[in-house]
Amino acid sequence: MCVIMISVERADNYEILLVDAGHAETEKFVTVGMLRAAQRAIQVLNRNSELVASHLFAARTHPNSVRYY
Amino acid sequence: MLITEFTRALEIIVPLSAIGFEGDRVGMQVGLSENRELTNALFAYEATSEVLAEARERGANLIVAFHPLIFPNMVSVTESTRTGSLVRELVKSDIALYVQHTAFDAQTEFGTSRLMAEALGLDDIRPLTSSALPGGAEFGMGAMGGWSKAKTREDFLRTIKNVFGTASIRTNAEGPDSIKHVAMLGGAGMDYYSAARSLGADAFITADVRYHDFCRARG
Repeated sequence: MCVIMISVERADNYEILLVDAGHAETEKFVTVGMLRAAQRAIQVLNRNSELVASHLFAARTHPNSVRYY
Repeated sequence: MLITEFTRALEIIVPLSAIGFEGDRVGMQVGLSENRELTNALFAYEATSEVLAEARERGANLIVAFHPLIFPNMVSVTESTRTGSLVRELVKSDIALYVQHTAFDAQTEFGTSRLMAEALGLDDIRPLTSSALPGGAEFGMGAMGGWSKAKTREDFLRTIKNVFGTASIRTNAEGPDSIKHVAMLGGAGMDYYSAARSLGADAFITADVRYHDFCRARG
């Protein structure tokens, strides 16, 4: 596996704004994203994509084990 | 279409060999017999009793989940643990569980961080790291992009709260007042903090950040 990274000239000690926006919150789009990826896979296979897609659903709930008070 | 055919199809777009960290538990975690037809598939963040109930309600015999349910430390399947109860419930309900986790994170067109960057309305989105599988397929963790016009720090933080729907975010006490180039990795992403820095990001959005990580961000 080859990893490519492109560097930008910056001072080593430059400040960056680090943001913790929550685990489940930053992953809130994955369910819909996985569904879109599956629909693409069906298209690539050239199967009856409309028929197969009608059998795929995104869950209504997005579980989050963390609560804020 | 058989369930096995369907999961093989998923691997065209989300190859399980492209996981974000070695040893991640992806693929079929609770399987049915090889010749079972797919009825319906439910895509979910993780397998919970509510998600299983929805799968039954929708007549799904496959749940495609983001988070793994079974980890190597699982030594028994009994109803005395949450995981054991869910595995028993899946088996009793005749529902298979297939997991994508960091293989999905690493998908550069649909993956977790790409979705975050799109939701933030960033342009010129690219992964923080870029790798290639032996067959040539590319994958990478994280995402980075920019806005044509920088946002003030206050506006940036307000945007994050709105986009991710979080009641509370944590950030370092100091930092740039103006944000234009943003790096991110959904979930626990501090392993990619250095990559975000070396790419010159003004901000890095992730989760599960420790106190001393915030100290590091001061430069």
